[in-house]
Amino acid sequence: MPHWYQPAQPATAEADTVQVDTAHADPVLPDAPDTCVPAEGPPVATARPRHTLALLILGAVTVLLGGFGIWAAMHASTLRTQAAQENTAVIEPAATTAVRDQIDSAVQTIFSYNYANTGATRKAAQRLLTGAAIQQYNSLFALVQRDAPAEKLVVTTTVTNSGVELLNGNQARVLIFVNQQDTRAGTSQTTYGGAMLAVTAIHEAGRWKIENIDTFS
Amino acid sequence: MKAAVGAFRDPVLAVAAVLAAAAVIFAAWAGWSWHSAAQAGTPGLAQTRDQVLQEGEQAVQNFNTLDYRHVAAGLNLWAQSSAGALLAEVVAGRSQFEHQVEQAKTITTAKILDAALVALNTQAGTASIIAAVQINVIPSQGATVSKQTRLVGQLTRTASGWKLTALGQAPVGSAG
Repeated sequence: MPHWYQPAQPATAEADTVQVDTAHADPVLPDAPDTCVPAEGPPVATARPRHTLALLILGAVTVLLGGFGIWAAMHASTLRTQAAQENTAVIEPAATTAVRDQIDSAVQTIFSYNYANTGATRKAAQRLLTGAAIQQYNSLFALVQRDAPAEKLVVTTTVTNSGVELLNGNQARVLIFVNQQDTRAGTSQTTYGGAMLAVTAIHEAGRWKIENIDTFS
Repeated sequence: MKAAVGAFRDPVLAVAAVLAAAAVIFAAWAGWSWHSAAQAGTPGLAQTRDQVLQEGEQAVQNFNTLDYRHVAAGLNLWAQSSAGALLAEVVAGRSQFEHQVEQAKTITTAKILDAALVALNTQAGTASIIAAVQINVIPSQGATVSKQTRLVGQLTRTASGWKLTALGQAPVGSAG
């Protein structure tokens, strides 16, 4: 390995060596530095520039690859963050179908009731709703529970169309068109009505739950 | 070789070598991580979906906009926003429609409240859209009539963008 060793400035190299060597040799050799200079001098003098060059190369490798590594890791992190925030509605068919089916079913359940057993609907709704929607629904459904028995009302809600607008990990927004069929048990009169809802949903405890319902009113 | 082995007895050099080795491993891991993150996304398809939805919304809005003072321009926009069966309908019914609107003197404008794609097939070039639309009709006399409608449309890809081939109201009643 002669190309490693370029004794361009032997004087400086030797001077350096002596200082460095004393510093490193001291703990091993309790003797005065002077004593080890003659014995250790020549081999260290040849190894020293080799070490310097090796240190320079290793240092450069560390800095360059370390720098690249930090840059690449930051870039990967940015890409992953973007991917996590990306809207996968429609373009991930299985996930889109899952959220749509569960929210369609939830909407049909919470907005369908029989005057004879409104409690069943209220009870079923509790596990299909989350957050502020629970309170909103319960205060609204309290009116239904008060009025429905007197009116002998049977309401059946059917989703006719729905589309997932946003699907981002555990958050989703679904636009839903529903048909409502209201029947008064006493008179057998039936009326139909349509409604549109934008439902915000959150995936928790293994299923999609309704967090908010926007009726565009 | 002997010199190289000897070199690692130098603690400084040994530390430098360990650091360099760590840098190699870190760089390799980070490079792989970056590569796999770059491969994971499907931005192309997401962009297509957003574009189809946007063009679909625009087409739905165009079909719910008509000013009796500019009927010809309005119906041209209908024709530009449609293809297939719907375009044929617009073309066939054009003169009758112009006459009706000019008689009624109505100005109809629309606002898309919300819209979503129900289906998208990029290979076949077809899509299905639903839109919640607020329609305002200004009659020749009297106050503006405002109503919300639920529209369902079919889209197809043409050389000049995505266009409606069908558009109608979501069903209400027992038929639904």
